[in-house]
Order: sequence, then structure tokens, then C-alpha cells
Amino acid sequence: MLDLFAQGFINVLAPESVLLIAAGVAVGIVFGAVPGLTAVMAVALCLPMTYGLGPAAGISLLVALFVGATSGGLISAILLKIPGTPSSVATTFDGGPLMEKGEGAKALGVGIVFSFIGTILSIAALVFIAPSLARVALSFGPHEYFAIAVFSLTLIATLSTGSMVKGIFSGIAGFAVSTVGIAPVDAIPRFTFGTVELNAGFSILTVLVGMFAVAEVIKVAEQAHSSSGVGVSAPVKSKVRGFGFTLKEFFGQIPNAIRSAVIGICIGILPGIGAGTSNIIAYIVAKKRSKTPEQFGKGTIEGVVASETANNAGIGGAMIPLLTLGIPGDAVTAVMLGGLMIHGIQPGPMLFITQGELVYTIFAALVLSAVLMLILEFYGLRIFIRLLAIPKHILLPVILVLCAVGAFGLASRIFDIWTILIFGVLGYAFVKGGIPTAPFIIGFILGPMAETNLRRGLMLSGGDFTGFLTNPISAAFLAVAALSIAWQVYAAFRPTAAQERTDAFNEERMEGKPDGQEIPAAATRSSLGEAESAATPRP
Amino acid sequence: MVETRTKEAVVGVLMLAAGLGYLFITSNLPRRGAVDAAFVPYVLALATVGLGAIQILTSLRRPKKPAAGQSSGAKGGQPGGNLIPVAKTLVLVAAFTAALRPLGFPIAAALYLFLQFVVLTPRDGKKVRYPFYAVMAVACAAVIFVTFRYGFDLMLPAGPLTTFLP
Repeated sequence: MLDLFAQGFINVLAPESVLLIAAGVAVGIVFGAVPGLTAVMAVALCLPMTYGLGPAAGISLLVALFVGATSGGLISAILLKIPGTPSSVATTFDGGPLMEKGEGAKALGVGIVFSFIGTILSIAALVFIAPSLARVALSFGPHEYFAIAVFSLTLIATLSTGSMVKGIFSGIAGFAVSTVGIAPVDAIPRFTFGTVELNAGFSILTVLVGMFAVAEVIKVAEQAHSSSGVGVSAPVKSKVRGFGFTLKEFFGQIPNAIRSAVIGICIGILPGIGAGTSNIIAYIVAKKRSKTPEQFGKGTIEGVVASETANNAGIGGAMIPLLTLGIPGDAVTAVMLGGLMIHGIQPGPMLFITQGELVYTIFAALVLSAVLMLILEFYGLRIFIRLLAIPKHILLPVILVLCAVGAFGLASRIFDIWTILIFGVLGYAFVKGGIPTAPFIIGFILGPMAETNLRRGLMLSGGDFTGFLTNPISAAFLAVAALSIAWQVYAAFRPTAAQERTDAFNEERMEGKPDGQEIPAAATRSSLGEAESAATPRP
Repeated sequence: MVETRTKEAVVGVLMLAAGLGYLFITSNLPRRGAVDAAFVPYVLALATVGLGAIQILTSLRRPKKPAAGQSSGAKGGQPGGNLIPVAKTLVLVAAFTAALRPLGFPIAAALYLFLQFVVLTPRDGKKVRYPFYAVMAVACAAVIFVTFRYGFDLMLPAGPLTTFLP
């Protein structure tokens, strides 16, 4: 194995390969950072460029784009509170508030370093335990997938800062929106109203861009003529030492990073669930395990570490079923499967035997991409921060045009741009109504998985619901889901010490704010939501 | 200032209306047994209706006046602002989308960017810099168009400019 690894590194360390991978990582970072452009789009648009390259160089370029784009999403998630990709949704929860506190550089540094760590840990998993992990993932059927989806959906309430009712409503609304299109199993068109474009349902990209990017532009428009104005973003330290955080902070986050990496790898392996889900799950788990859960949503590096480690750990996770079984774990690896097949490579168990050198070249390309990502983002950190000097009234319209380009690029349809506008209005309405948007996204992502596997599972068990309870893995997940609901209901009606601390914090915050001063939107959502729940009479 | 209780009740009514609307369109789906294409939408619709009802009841149980030290605008969501630029922004985005095919991306994007810069410019006594905005709008639209059309082969509509393009 070491011989093959050494040969792989010799292949990718050739000057032209290093340049190609560096270019791929840089382009990937740009695609990840611009809301509306995603890793899938980066890999798909650059796929034709690999035709003229050899298999190793071509796949290395695609791998570099994947690594760069997955990590690049953190830039806009932190600086603009707009996730660059679905995999950086949870990064906005704490990255945005950290930026508003003037600690944007620290948030970016933490995100970059733990993106790197997540990628490296997932590559280690890919190299050492890929075949056995893939076999376990492959043994999962509809019952298990349904149970996992239900369990993940029950975590929505954890994301419901403030009113649990509104949080659950948001998750259900996301699930309901995902039911538009051709129904699974019996292929009946639902809620399409004769519109052909709706047959495939809404794309996650248009929903995400609308709910976050367009809604942000509308929010800025609302404040444009007020006394506070929009101006430029919060001041951020322009001189940054290293990555902007201390060694103590780094070592303090290691357990969180390892836990989040494991979540990212495990979710990444499962076909159909990708980094878009794992970053939110890792965030929720980090919040539950934290000694200071009340700080989540107000700007803690724990949240950024969890999200960024998990989403980058999904890279290796998604590559495991692709290389070992020939099954793409997510949309990016589906395009990469096409890239492999263009070069006459058939992924699967035999790939490690017949094309061992190529496989280890891909592993080496992943490692090199991760290192180059760290270097490019380290030096880019200073440039990213300077972006904040651009006034929002200039920056956001340009981003919105890029979002429109991204939406158009999905299927060359103007319809998708209309969709982002509609979801933008919905996102703005959610903000005005105090309804959190994160549960909507997780409901939208996990809804189809839950419904499809419910229908398939029932077909397998002849319409008998007990099939979900007699299957041990499915039963275990459903039991944990039931316990999770019970615990959250119990916690909602019993004020905890943490809640009391939060209420005290909010009171101090309210008293300290001069009248008319704008409260950061993310902080408003969380802290004011908690204030609201405190005001609600409890039994 | 909208009173928090009323605002929360309005949110509840809207949630309930959304649930009832979804229930209505679900009832129009063809049925093919107990667990069919309409099963999950029915579950979701009923849950939404229930949540809307809970939200209304919870809001009505609230005290009428906001607690001391808390501004009413901050209770259930973002504080209110000026809705005129919001309406202008929505109209501009809709017009940009509608104009993409007939005008082409470069012209539609340049016009949209220019007007959106003007609309979003803070009214804090500073002059709106029309020439700068015009140059920025044209430059940004051109760079984005060229990058995606020629760099990534994404065939953004060019409208009347199609005949002049290589």
C-alpha cells in the first residue's frame, strides 16, 4: 500500500499536476464562495476540460474542485451570512454572529483549519477503512433510511431557537415544498398545476439561494432608507496573526472536530445524504454536547468547527462508495463517476486491484488538494476580509446576479430564477414572522428521503408498518427519534439553568442597546426568540 | 408599532391558512389506497393546521403589553423598516428576470445592477454617484457574462447582442 501511495504522490507532485490541482482548488473556492454556484456546478462545468487530460490528471482536477468548493462555502457564510453552498448552511449560524462581533477573521481561520482537518480525517477513513464502511452502508435498506431521515427530522426542534412551534412549522413547510413534483413510487404529479418545470420539483440550490441570499438583499433594502442605513459590514480586524485563533482554542475544539468528522464521514458514505445534511446534524450534536449551548447562534467557534469539519469530512465519505462500489454518494460524486467513465475507468471493488496506482493517485490528489486549500485560504483570508470594505449596497446586487447565473446554470431555464425570487420573498416573510429558516432547509432536504423510503419500505413489507420496528437498525433509530422528541418537549416546558442564563444575557443585552440601534439579524432571531419563549407562560 | 400579541396571532393565522391551503390542494390529489402519493401531504397538512392553531392559542394567552425592557418590534422577528425600497427591489428582481431573454443577460444585468445600486444606497446625506454606479454595473455585467459564457460554456442569453458575439 505504501508503495502505491508513494507512486500516487510522485504522480501528483509533477509540476503540471500541482499547477492543475492548485487551479482546481482556487476555482473551487470561488464557486463555493459565491452563493448560487456550487461544487456540483464547478465539477460539471469543468468536466469537459478533463477530456484532453489523462485519467489521473483529469480526476485530480475534479477532486481539487470538489475540495475547494466544499470549503469555499464558509467564506460567504461567515462574511455575508449567506451560505455559499448547501454544505455551509450551519456555518452561518455562528459564523455570521462572530463576524458581527468583529471576529470575522477568527471565524474564517477556524473554518479554514477545521475544513482541512475534516478533509484529512475523511481521506484517512477512505484509505484505511473504505471497503468495510462501504459494505455497512450498502446493507442499509429503505427501512433504515426512513428511520435515519425521521431521526434527523426530529432534530429540527433543536434548531428552533425561540418558539418550537414555529421551528417545527418551518421544518414541515420545507418538507411540504419538497413534495412538489412527481411523487415517488407511483409517479403521480403533485402540486405542479400543469407546469412542466415543476415536475422535477424545486432544486435545493434555488431554495437555498432564495431563502438566504435574496432574503438578505430584501432585508438590506428594508434598512436602506432608515437612520441606521446599510453601509459596510461590521468592522473586522484587518491585521490577522496566523489563522486568528489561539492554540488553546484549537486544542479545545479537537473532540468537537473528531466527533463532527465522524458524523460527516458516516453521513457522506450513505448514498443520497451529503454534506448539506451532515453540517447541520454535526452542529446540532455539538450544541447538545457543549458546556455552553446557550452561546450557539450568538457567535461561538464551536458551531463553525462542527459545521466545517463535518462538511469537508463528507468529501472522503462520499468518495468511499464511489471508489469501492461504483455508487455515487452525492451529486458531486455522480458527476465524478461520469468523469471516471469518460476515461474508461469503472469504479468498483476491482478498481483497487486493476487500477491500484490510479486509486492511490486520487488519494494523493485529495491530500494535496487539502494542503493547497489550506495554503490558498490562509493567504486569501486577508483578501476575503477586505471584501467587507465593499459597501453592501454594491456587493449584494452583484451577488444576486451571480445567484441568478447559478440558478440559470442548473438547467438553462429562466424558471429557476423566478423560483429564487419566490423563495426570497418566503425567506423574508419567515424573518419578519420570527420563523427560523434552518429547519425549512433540513425539512426540504430530508423530506423526499423520508417519503421515498417510507413508500419503498411499505412495499417491501407488504404495507405493514411494523416492518420499520422489526428491523433492528431502523427500530433503534426510531426509538432514539422518539426519545429525542420526548426530551425536547420536556426541555421546552422546563426552564433550565442555561435558559435562565440566556434570559439574563438577553435582558442585559436589551438594556445595553440604545433605542433604534440595529440588532444583528442572527442574534435577533436567537436571542429574541428565547426572550419570547421566556415570556410565554409555562405550566 | 404592531403589538406583539397581535403580530404573533397574525403569524398563527397565516400558518393556519397555509396549512388549510395545502390541505385543500392535497384533497385534489387522486387516491390509490391508504398509503399513496397523497398520504404524506395529508400528514403534513394536518400537522401544519395543528401548529397554526397552537400558535394562535399561544399568542392569545400572551400578556397584552410587552414585558419591560423589550421592544415590541423585536418579539417575533426582525424590527420593521421601510417597505418602499423592499417593493422596489422585488420589482427590479422580477423585471431583471423577465428581461433576461428579450434583452439578454449583459443589458438586463447592467440595468438591474445600476438601478439596484441606486435603490440600496443609504440615504445618509451622501449623493448617489450615478456615473460610478453606471460604470460598475456595466463592468460587472460584462465580466460575469464573459466569464461564464466563454470560461465555463454556460450559454447565458445574449438577446440582441447575439449577432455581435463571436
